Amino acid sequence: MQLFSSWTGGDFLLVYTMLLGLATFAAWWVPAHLREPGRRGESDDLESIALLAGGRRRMADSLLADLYVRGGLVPCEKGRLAVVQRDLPASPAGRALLANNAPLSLSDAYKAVLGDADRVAARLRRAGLLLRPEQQARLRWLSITPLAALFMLGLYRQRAGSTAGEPTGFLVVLLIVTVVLAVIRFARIDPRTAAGVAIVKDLRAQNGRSARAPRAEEAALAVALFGTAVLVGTPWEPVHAMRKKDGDGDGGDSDGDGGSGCGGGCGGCGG
Amino acid sequence: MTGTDTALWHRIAAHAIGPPEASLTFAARLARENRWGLSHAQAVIDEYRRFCYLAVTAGHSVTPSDAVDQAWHLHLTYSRDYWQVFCPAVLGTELHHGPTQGGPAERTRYYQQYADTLAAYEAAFDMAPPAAIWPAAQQRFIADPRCVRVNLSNAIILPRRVALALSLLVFVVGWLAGRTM
Repeated sequence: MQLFSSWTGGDFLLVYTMLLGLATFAAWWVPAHLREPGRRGESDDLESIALLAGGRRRMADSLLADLYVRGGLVPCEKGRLAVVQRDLPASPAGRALLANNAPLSLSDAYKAVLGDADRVAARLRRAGLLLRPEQQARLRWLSITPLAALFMLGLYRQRAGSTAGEPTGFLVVLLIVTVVLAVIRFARIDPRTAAGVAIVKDLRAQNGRSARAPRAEEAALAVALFGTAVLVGTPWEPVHAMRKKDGDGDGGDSDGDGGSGCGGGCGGCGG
Repeated sequence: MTGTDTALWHRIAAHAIGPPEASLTFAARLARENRWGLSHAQAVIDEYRRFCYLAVTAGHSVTPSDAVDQAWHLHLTYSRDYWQVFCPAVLGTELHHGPTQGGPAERTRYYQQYADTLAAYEAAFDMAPPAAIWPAAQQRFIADPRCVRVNLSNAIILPRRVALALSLLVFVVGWLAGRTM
């Protein structure tokens, strides 16, 4: 218990705070730079792109957008979407959504596509675009190693200080902050390989315009890449509005007069 | 070949709107009426020129952003230049301005035209339209239509966050004053 014995509590807190900053930086730097490279394979179908860009929920969002734009879904009460064309050509996940008899809420949609999302994820893992579970676990533990080491150091000093009758309240608060940061980092690890990250980055750069005002045929891909917020102000806004009803917003605000008819556009006729 | 290599674009780019020797030029008036800086107004005019190019070449109706629309509105008030020079001699066709008739169908139509216009811009000029002048649909069709004319001689304009901060400050000061009395 002689380590740091010559340090005052204030000195140690100062050093710990600086180390916490460095450890937090490292915890975010490690997964950004040390993830598996993967393989730069093809991933051009909507479901794969959506799952790579935003996970399973994003895949459901893009399918809802696709079906809504093509007229298979219409808005109904409580921000839900009702199926009006069951025979619309669709992928297996899309057909699972169209098979619902009751109006769809967002959570209904997530549940309906879960099995297909797992199949798409497995395909992306085989393609080298998503991390395999053991690779993901390794990255999680590697990411929080700096924070865990710092926590052990702080805990050692706290026990020593406590034994010596020193006040350790501030250090306990810093230890709790360290644990919270580690839990967040552990829970929110990006499951993609470096190749998967790069593909999404390229696709976003190629489709930047559609994030502002997608055309009908671009709407599903825009949602897949950028989320449902791109639909705010478009005729397909009810797909985004579902999130608010489910208390599950992902950004983007929609407090306007959607569909109430004060448009504001002005058109010139082309030559 | 991009849009900027064509004879039509060269005519549009070379056309000066309003008398350049005027003490209040077209760009200065556009900046003043919209409370923009002169450089932003000039950038908007450049985008208005591109919009006019698209209106003639895109093959479909086009819809401008709100900023470009302000430039178009102002140009229309220079009616001799617009109808007697710009349309016949520069564009080679009449370019009419058609405001929305209101209602969901019109709103959808103008949204689709706006999206088509952005796509046509990207195809014609081989670059994405600048986001500061051609914003996202949320800004274009929800926020921008809320603009109104305000006479600054009898009104004060405060950004919402400043008004909220001031309200909170007044409330706290009032509460503290009430506690000390």
